[in-house]
Amino acid sequence: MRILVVEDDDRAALYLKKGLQEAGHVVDHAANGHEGLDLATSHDYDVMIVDRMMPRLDGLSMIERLRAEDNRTPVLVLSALAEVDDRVEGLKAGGDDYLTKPFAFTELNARIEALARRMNPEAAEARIKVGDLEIDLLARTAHRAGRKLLLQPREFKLLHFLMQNAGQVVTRTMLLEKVWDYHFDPQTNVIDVHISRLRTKIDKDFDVAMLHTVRGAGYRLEA
Amino acid sequence: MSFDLPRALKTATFRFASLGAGMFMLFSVFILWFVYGSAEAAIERQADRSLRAEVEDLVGIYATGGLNRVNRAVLERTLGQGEYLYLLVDPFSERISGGLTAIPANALERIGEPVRFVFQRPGMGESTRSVIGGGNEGALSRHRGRAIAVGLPGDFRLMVAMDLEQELEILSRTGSDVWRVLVLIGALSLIAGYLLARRFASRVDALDQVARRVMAGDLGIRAPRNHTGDELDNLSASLNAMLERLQRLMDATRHAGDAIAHDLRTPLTRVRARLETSREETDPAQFSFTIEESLHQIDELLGVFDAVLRLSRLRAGERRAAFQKTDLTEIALDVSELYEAVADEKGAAFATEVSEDVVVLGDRSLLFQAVCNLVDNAIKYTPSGGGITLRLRHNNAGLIELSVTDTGPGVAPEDRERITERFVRLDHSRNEPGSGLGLAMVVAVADLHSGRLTIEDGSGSTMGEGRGLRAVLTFPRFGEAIAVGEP
Repeated sequence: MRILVVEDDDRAALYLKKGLQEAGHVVDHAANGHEGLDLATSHDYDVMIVDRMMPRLDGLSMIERLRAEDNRTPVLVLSALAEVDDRVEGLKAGGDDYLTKPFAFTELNARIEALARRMNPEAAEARIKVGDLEIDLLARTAHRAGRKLLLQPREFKLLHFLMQNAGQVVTRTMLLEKVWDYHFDPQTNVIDVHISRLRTKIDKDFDVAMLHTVRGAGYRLEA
Repeated sequence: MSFDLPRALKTATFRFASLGAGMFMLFSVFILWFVYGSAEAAIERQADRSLRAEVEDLVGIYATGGLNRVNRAVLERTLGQGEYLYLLVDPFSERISGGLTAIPANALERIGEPVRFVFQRPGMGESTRSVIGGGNEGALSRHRGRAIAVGLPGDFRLMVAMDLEQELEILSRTGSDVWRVLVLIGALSLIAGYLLARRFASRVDALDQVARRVMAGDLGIRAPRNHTGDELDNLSASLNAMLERLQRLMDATRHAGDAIAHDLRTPLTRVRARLETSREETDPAQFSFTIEESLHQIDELLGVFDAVLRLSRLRAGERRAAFQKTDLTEIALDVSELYEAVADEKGAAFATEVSEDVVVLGDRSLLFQAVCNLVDNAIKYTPSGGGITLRLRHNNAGLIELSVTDTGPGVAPEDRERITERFVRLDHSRNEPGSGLGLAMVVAVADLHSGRLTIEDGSGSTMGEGRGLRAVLTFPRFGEAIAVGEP
């Protein structure tokens, strides 16, 4: 993927650039909102990572201008502000996702993969298929190898999200935000319990396990 | 800008006092001038009436006895030392009789009308009086009076005048006495203003001192009060209340700081030790395991950091502005959906009794977090085979009541108050993973929503596992006035 990093802090920018390049992406860097705006309008990017606090033109204003010019490139907003209100503000300005510093690189990577995927038109289809696992979004049914899986509504939503991001790592916070729609900090690993229930339903009776735990990061669904 | 005036002279009070004194003086001068003028006019009117009568009398004498009789009358009356002065002149303005020397121009212009008349009077005993002609003439003293001149047939003229010097003198002396008193009053009001201002300035100074001490870092100081309820006393009271709040916030921050330091130190030391040992690690698998573990621990540390930060922000109360109508029923159902599986995993039963359409004014995420923390705790302390119940209803007291009941060991009644307090203070009991901070968060969220957290006995030892615990959150109903409580 081609990624634009707009970040005024040199060390943070270097860290991002290095990590993203190692993950196999092509990375451009802009040191402030004006530069970022120039690059974003003159090149095509798959994803942009924009820091919120920057001198001259701040991140949110930059995104607002881009959106006003009908640029639909998905944007991940980086910020040191953790409050829910700040988050809402970031998303309102046209950001597609919001990540608070400090963050684990795996979290960032998982989120930009998900962002890029969301722009993919196949996501709009009524059926998603990963290996022998298949869900029908209209009928709200799931099958593996032709056998019907009995899922609770939330389990269906969870599986849907995992399948949308098949092959990619999704983190626990991403699941809380996207599947449960709450931005909060669970005291215990509630998500693990739900994943293990889902795993029982989709993997237990089959030879090949599809839902994997990625140590220190989250989960990955794979054919 | 440095006038070397005493401070009191620069105060607003002194300015107001001087303004008051100035206005008083101005009005007084105006009134004095008016009264003086009308008193003078009254004296002159009186004199004019007598003069007219006298002139009429003499004109009457002329009518019956002619010029000679008038001349005689004037001579007699001049010698008689009465209160009038006379002058009778011939057509060439030469004096025929009378004690005056000439008729003044203004009297000649207005024949038959009383006019002002200034003349010189010789010392006692001399009989000649003269109309003023110019400057001083020796020992002659200047007198003010009134005069009327009339014409007699054959171009003779007669003037009668009256000396008012004494009356006018008394009047003007009284006037200048009053004037002196006024000046004195003005000076006294200025002095009084100065004294008042100094008193006021010293009280304001005291407040200023307090502000300076606070700036220097002494938050414990309080403004002096005299409890009279006057403006300055009220200001002092408000200032003190503000300082009280500031101090409490500072204390809370310091507590939070201490707690963070305490919470982070131990795990950090552990991570450090692990990384240090791994420097000599040769087995790559073991090495990467160490790295993973360390990262995991650092993430947990960051989590604690976030929680403490959120907590102190909550306590500062800044989230209230964004409150919205929030469906507590939905939140309760979402929480139970999320945690049912967790309880199930642990072998505990999870029951939900939730009334429909319970709404509060609040913050959805925070309320969700608070309920999660309560349920999380309940599950943590409930043994396998026990049960957890989440209830939401409007209670008899007209409040919204959300309770989480478990069948765990519970908390002894004498400890309940203490633990709630301890949670609020973020005290030491946070060594146990997860606990303490979680409930402290619940208390902070409850405070923010004008609600309350109480800890009660649970459903009883139905499972033979101890009395159990009931954590109850109460909130005012939506639409009912939310008092901005002291957090």
